[in-house]
Amino acid sequence: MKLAIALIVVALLGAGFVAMHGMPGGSGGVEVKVKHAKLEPGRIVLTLESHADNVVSVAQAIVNDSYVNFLAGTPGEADIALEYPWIEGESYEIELLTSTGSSVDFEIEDAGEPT
Amino acid sequence: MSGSMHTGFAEGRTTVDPAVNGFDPSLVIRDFDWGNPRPLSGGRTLRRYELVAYDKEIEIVPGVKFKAWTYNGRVPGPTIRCREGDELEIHFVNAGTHPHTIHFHGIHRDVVDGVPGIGAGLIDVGDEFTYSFTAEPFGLHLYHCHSSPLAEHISKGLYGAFIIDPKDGRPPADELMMMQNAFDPNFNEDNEVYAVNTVAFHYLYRPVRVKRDELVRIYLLNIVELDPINSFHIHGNFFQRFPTGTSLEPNEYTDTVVQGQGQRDVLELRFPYTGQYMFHAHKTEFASLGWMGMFEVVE
Repeated sequence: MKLAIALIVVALLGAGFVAMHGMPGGSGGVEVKVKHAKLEPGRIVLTLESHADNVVSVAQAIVNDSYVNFLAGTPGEADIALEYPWIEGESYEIELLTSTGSSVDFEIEDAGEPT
Repeated sequence: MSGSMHTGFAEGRTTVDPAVNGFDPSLVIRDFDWGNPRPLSGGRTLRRYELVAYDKEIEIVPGVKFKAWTYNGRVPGPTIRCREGDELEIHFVNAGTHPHTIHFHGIHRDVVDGVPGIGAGLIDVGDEFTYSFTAEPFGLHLYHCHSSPLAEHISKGLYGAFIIDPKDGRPPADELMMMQNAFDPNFNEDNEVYAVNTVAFHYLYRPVRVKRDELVRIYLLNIVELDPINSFHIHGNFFQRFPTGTSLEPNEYTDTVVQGQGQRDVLELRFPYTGQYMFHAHKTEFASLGWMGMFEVVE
């Protein structure tokens, strides 16, 4: 994996974070994809990978049709932590919206199972 | 998770800087374009308006850009306002990149209906046309592009509110225009962003300030594509509903109204208590994806 996350902006706004980060990749979930997801208490941590050279930014994250706060990894890391009170056994559809409006899509079919 | 579990939307977020888009939903909500008026014989009025269609990238939720097609550089376009019986001339210039039209809801001749193949039909890129008709009936109407593919031309932003006041007007009120709209920035035939007046959650972070006990009149329209219905719900209050605004008598006293695509209602209410009162789509998916705001009621 040649992904090298470059943190562009991490903005602390009130009680939460809005993070924007750049990552090599294209649009529409074609060149950038979620490699795997890790479920932690109160959050879903996604590891991304890319096979493209251009840089796009993830601006917003949606879990089951709801915007959620997220925190990008530190520079050089590929993880994005989504704040979400997931429930064991339920399924989750995730969309990472880039600054251009394209998205990286991922589905957790059964929370609690290794993904 | 931080934030209100009622809204499902986390704290710590904010809205789009109005300077980025060149229009501010906090101003759009009370911005009514009465045109350039000129008196006519018989006490009537001629009103002229200028609408220019052009492409413009706008920000619809913080950090996410959308290549919109606009009337006058804003989404929704100017809220055109007049009185029943006024003569209207809407001069339209297509400075965009595709053929467009303006189709007005209302009663008028077919040649100014703004549909392809009738009258001026499609207005090609670089061309212009003046739509002329008498304003009728009074009520809350829409205007929008009617080029094909229709859903694309509307969902990209070519629409606005068209308000025809009764000849004797309505009772004085603090008037608000709320255009329920949505966007599908990744073109997957499923909207990711819902709003009133384009910017998701804008009125949650820039509440609509109104005065206690003052009559508030909401011109509520639904132009959302891809979803068959939308809704408006208010907390801590009820409102009188005037469907399409074509009668001066309300037909319902409620706190929730459902609208199909293109449907409109005039709502009237007073807030008896000061404080913060949420309003949002009661299709909760839409609320969690941006269609959510707040009234701030002050003395």
